[in-house]
Amino acid sequence: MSDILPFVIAGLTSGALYGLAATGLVLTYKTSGIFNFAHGAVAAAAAYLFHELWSVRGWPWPIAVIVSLTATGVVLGVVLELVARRVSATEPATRIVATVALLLVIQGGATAIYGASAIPVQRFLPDSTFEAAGVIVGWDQLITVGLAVLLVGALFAFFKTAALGVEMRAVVESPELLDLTGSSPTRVRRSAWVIGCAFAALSGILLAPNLGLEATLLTLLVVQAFGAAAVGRFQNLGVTFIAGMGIGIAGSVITKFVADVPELSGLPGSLPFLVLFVALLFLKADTVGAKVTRRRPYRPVQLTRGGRTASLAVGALLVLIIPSLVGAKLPVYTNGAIYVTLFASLALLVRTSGQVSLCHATFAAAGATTFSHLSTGMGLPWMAALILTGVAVVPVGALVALPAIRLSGLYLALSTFGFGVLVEQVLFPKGIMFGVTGTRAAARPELLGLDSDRGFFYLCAGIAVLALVAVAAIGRSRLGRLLRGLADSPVVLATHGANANTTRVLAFCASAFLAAISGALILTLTGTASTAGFTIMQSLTLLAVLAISGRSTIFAPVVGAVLLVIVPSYVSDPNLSAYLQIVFGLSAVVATSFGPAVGEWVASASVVTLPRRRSSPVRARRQAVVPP
Amino acid sequence: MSTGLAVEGLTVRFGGLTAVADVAIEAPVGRITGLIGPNGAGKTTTFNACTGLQKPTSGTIRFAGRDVSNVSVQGRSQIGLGRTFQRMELFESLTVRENVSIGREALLAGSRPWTHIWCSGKARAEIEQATRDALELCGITDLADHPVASLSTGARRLVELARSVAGRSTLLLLDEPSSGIDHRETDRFGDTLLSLVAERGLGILIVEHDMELVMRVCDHIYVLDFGQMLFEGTPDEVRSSEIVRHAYLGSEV
Repeated sequence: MSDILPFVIAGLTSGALYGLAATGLVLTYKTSGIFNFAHGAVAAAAAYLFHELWSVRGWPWPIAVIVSLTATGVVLGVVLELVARRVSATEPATRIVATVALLLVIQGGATAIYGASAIPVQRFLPDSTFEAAGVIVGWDQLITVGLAVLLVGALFAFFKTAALGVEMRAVVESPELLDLTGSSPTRVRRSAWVIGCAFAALSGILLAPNLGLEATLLTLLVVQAFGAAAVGRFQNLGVTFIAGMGIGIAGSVITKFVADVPELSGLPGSLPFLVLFVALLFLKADTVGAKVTRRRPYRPVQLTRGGRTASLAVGALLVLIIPSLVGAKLPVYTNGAIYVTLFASLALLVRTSGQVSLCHATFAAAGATTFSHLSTGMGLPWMAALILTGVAVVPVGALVALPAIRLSGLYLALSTFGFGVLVEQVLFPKGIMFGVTGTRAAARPELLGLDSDRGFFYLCAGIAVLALVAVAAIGRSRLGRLLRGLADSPVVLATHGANANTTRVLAFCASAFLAAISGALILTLTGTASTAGFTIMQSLTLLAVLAISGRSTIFAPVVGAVLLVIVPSYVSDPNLSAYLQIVFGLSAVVATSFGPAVGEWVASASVVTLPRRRSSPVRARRQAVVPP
Repeated sequence: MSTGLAVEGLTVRFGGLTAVADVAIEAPVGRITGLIGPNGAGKTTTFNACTGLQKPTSGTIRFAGRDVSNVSVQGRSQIGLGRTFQRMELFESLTVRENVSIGREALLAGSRPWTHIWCSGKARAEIEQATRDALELCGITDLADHPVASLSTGARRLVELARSVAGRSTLLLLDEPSSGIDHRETDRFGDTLLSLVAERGLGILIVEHDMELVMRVCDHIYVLDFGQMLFEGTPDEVRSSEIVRHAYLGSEV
């Protein structure tokens, strides 16, 4: 027992910080209805600011803590409230993309300024220890836990007694009613966002000495809060805080036990996500029907027969002449063609069915590694291995969708996010995926000259065209109509007799199939692939890029591939990937929060995404039917 | 009653608030039943409980001769219970024809993955036939190829009705189908409802504020107030009832 206690104490310390962050997350979600995926990024931003003020500029640490806490809380709180308000009336997918994009901006910004490698942060709280009940406890641990408990307790009291606290509870119940009583829901929500962000900021600052400053790590670590928030059913602040503590303690104690079992080394880190999955499984479905969100009506591009032929012809011509035009850059264009397939699979999910996947790069990774096993490992013929790869990853897609399928929307996105991080932390280093070396190899097909750069380009472009045609065909089939119905109103789909869960899982299966194929192609393009192209950040970037690529399921994948792969290849800068993340993230924040105006402008500015003008309804009919 | 809907002892509570208290309703096939009452009386909550969107606190819901209290939304639809929504839930990205055809297509798709993907020639013909009939019955054949986003409120109401009609429903629950449409359209809407019952033998349970329409089409009317059943009877009885006049109708009817 006594050898476990130090782990419990260490776990209690980090758990208190997860709990603190999670409480802030639930507070903002409760009051605004917008789930902040950038909550961890807020913590990271505060930690970097603290590092800048204290380590770099030499301010006394108490002042540095207070300044970075206040600045991050206020600035990001206000920004987030604005974004949340702007996207509150849009469809679930847009609401998710908005804060995901903000995460990319903050994380990219931190990486651009401070680099991707970890910066050690010295302890600033007193590091002397005392002994209690035979256990050595650090003063810093005591202060951390005490501070977290104190703040959450204060929030509780504030909620129950203070006028603003009562108003915060009121804004959850009925913003309209609060508005009528003369209190501005916006002001109340803004206060909640500032408090929520300050909580995240404090946990980030206090976690930094333990973890070191690394943008991705911090951004994802406070994601531990997701698990705690799910246990608290995204509603209950007290349960959330206690769950955060529990996750911290359990993670720390497990660390002790898995130290001897290398296979389980990823378990402590993934514990919050396991908690998240289980909590999602037990979460009660919302009372559907009560809240049906309005979706910005959009018409998918439906090309006329002539338009279809024309765009096919232009596409085919481009594919034919690109190898002669671009010279040595051909592999970049091949990569672009592969990403068209990947974006097409994501567009099928996001655009057609209105669901969000935050682990699309993980599907691609599963495809790449499976392909490597099948072709290099088992020596299957190239084409057979490619198709088998797609088929093999289909159950993975279904598996991801299942925990949250009843809940859909946000919870589905959270589930995919959890899955992406889990696979990256636990399975990537294992032999079944990338192994300890972090790379996988596979050769190009050795027939008909397809292994040459030019031949392989034609192959990838051909597959991309097939993928686009398949997505278009699905859109016109029964499944496509059901998927679009699902995106518009799952409730109505159910009241007409279709099982929306079946529709959702099928969308994930089809999407996973295409993503796996593109992953396999990414691997064979260079012959080897490392984990770098398949991280959770890559998944988030894919989503942000898709959000700014127009609303067509046919043209958006092409635009997305050009933005993500082709254009950056003409820029050389050591920090390019961080800058890209900022650019894509910012554009997506603007497109989601400040479109439709900007979104429409972007859509109309790029000729290819312009929807076909339809004839207006019969005039005579208009006169007979008085407009609302 | 073996066909149609029979609600007994329905109670729905939201926390401390009782939205519907011990309500009993019978809506048989082959007639139009009205459900009226002031805003907040629990009409839509009753609808939600009937279709399975809202789990009742207590009470049973029988439909087509069986207890459907524990049957899913989709399951109830499969055995012939259709509905429209107060806030008009149309599939905004689809055309009128596609919206209406989903009424039958979703029914055929059901729960099985295979039927979600594959649509046999026979099924396609069935969908087309049902869509054409529903469009014609609701008088919106000429709008079939327009996106629903471009329609007026009145036409949108008809699209929603047609979508329900395109299914195999034997009983339709219509939630304020005439709100937001003008007088003349309401007249036509009433005719459409009457012909649905006369030609197709459907049953309809209608929540409506337009008393003229209710009095004209309904055979039997239930009056809800504060979640309680206040009164039930024929339109004439409702019109002459002192309590209904006092609680809801006011003096002008």
